Amino acid sequence: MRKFLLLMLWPLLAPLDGYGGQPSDDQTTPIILKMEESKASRPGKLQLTDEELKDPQKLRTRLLKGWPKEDLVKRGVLEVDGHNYYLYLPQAKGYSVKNTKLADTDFDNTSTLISVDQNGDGRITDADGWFANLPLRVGDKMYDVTEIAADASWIVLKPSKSPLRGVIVGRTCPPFSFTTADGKVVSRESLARKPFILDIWSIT
Amino acid sequence: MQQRFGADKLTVVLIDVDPGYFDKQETYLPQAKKILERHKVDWPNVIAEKGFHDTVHAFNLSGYGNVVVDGKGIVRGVNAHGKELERLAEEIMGATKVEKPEK
Repeated sequence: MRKFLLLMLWPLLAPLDGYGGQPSDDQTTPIILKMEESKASRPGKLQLTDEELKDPQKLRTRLLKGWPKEDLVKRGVLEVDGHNYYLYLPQAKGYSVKNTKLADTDFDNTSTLISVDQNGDGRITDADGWFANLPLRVGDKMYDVTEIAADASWIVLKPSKSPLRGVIVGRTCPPFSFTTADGKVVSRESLARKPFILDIWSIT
Repeated sequence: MQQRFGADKLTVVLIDVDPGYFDKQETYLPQAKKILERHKVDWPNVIAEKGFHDTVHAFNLSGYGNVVVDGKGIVRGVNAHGKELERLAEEIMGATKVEKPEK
C-alpha cells in the first residue's frame, strides 16, 4: 500500500523531495531515486560445485572461464555535495532492505547489495557494494535505504543520523573503536595525526 | 611494514576477527594471548568481538584485508597487497614528511 501511494504521489513529491536524487535542504526528507536501465556489472560470487572442488581438472577448467559477473540492471544518480554518484541495483527476483539473518557479513546478509560508484570511474568492484539494511555511504554523507521498488524502478533514501561508516579511497576514514585483549582502546582518534594501517586478520 | 618505517612513524593495528568464530570470549582470549606472546607480536592487536560483523559495520569490509590511512585521516588504499601496499605505505610516509614544518 505504501509503495502504491508513493508511486501515485511521485509526480507531486518529485519537485519537493529531489526527484532523480537532487539534494534537499531538509535533511530528513526522503529522496526518491528514479532508476534507469543499466548495462553495468560487478564481480559476482564464484560458486563451485562439489564435483569441481574434488576434481583439479574440472576446477582448472572452471577457473579458466574467468570470474563470474553479476549484472547491475538499474542505476540512478544521486547528487551529494555537488557531485553526481551512480547507485546500481543487481538483477534479482526481489529486493529487500532487511537482513533476515543475525550477522551483517557478506555470507549472511539477505538484504539487497547496492553498488555505489564512489569515484565515478564506471568500474564497480567488491568494495563498492553496500547492503541495503545498513546505512549507505555516498561521498561523505550517510543515507538509510528505506524502500526499493519490486521492479527496481526506484529507491527511497533518507539522510541518516548514523555516523560515517565504510572506507572509500580518497575519503575520510570513518570513526572506529576497538579494544585490545589487555583492555586498551584503539580508535581513529587515538591514531590521529600519524599514518596507520588497519589489518583485518585472524590470530588462530 | 611497521619495523621498516618505525613504530613511532607508522602504526599497524591488527583487527582480530577470530572471536566471531568462538562462542565465548573467555575461551578465546587466553588462547589468543598465548599465540601473541609466542610470536612476540608487539603491535596493537584489537578484538572485533563479533568478527566480520563488526568490520562490516565500521568499514564495510567483510573479509580479511587492510586499510591504509594517511596522517590526515584520509583512506589511501583498501585491501592492497605486495608491492602496491609497499608503494602506498611509502606514499603516506612521504606525505607525512612533507607536512612537517621546517625548523
